Amino acid sequence: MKRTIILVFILIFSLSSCTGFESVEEYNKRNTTKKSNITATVSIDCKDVLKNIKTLDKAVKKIIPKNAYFLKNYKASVEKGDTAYSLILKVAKNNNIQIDCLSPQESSYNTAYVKGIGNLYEKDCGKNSGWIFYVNGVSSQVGCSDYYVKDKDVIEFTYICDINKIYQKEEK
Amino acid sequence: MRDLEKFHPAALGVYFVCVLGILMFLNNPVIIVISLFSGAFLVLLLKKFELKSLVFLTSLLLLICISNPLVSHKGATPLFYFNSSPITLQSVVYGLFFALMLIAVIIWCKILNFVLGGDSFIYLFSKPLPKTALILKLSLRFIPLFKQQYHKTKNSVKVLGLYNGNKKIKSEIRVINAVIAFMVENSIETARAMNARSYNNKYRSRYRFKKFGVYDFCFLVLTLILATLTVVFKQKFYFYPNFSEVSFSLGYLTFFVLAFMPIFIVLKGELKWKFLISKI
Repeated sequence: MKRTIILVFILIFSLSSCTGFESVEEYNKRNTTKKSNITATVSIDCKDVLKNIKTLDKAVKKIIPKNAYFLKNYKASVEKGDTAYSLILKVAKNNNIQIDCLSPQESSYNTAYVKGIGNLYEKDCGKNSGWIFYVNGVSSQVGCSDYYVKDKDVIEFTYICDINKIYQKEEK
Repeated sequence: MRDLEKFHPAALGVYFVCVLGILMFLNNPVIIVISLFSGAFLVLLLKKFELKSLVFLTSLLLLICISNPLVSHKGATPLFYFNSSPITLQSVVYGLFFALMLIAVIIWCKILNFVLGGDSFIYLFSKPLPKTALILKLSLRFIPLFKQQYHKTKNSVKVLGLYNGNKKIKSEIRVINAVIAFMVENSIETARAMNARSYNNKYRSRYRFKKFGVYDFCFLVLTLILATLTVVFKQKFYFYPNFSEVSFSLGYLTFFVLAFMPIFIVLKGELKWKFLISKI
């Protein structure tokens, strides 16, 4: 009796997890964005890497774009309740850019964390390197999953080679 | 057959440290495959192959192969998407080679345990680090001894009629209780026994059963030369975001010779044995 119950649970669990499978073509065809009047400009760049190319990991040298922009001034339509996190996920999917994040549930700070975009990961260019984001040219005080996007916002995701330098600049 | 064990334990220890270190820290697929093949071949030659371990190793391989791409989404070529996160070719292959490396390390440690087992460890370290050597040896023996004693105690409890099949947890606790008491007593006994034999005494002479000869010296020098050549002429390999190319380099050749050296020694001994038999 016990065994059958456990077996049924395992079956239900495996079936429910099987529904998540998608081929690459299906994934690319699936449209996630609905058109709306509210728009925001999104860009993803790694200008700082080109300045500090010496500390860059040799393995990722080939995938760095020459003009330092993975995505430049992309106009994205924003739905109600969209955060910077959900927006960047959608934008990356529509532009076929690889993205790897910790969702707010997975991360220990209750806010999303971007590990890597376009196969450029944290710690690839020095110890303190990683992705940060700016809203209208100012670095946000909250995490990207807690910032709700407004109309005509300019959202920039930037790769930073040394986060301590940024903090020092802000203090001054 | 016994030729490999005839070498001085210090030379053999250096050899195994070199092979395992290169295998673990270079993380190169060619080196992993070479050491896997040579290790498997050596295990077959030494007749230490067990079918039971094969089941464990394949299940380990499958577990890592499946779990790595679920956790790591690095890599440029997605195979398919699972819950809208990509399962990439690179992370699958990385998981595969990581598992193969683990398997190779397990196989080489098995050979190490066979070749350098018994008294060799105590022989090597009883003078410089007597206490550490004894504690290490005892702790390595702890788990097999525990297992053995557990089966013994369980059988005797069953015979006495105190093992209740319906109350399994209670009966198991009874058995484990007895085994733990035995282990504590046993460790004290061992310590007293070693003390009585004046272990760790300054004036205690040691039974020297091996001398560092010319063959050992040649073996040691050859090992060190090959290992340093392998490290100097290593080829860095990247899994992420794209596989880097593998081309021929001297490091692979030297590691090949290094990894197949004990096989040559064992085969030579075997051939000599056969040759001597046919003469009679």
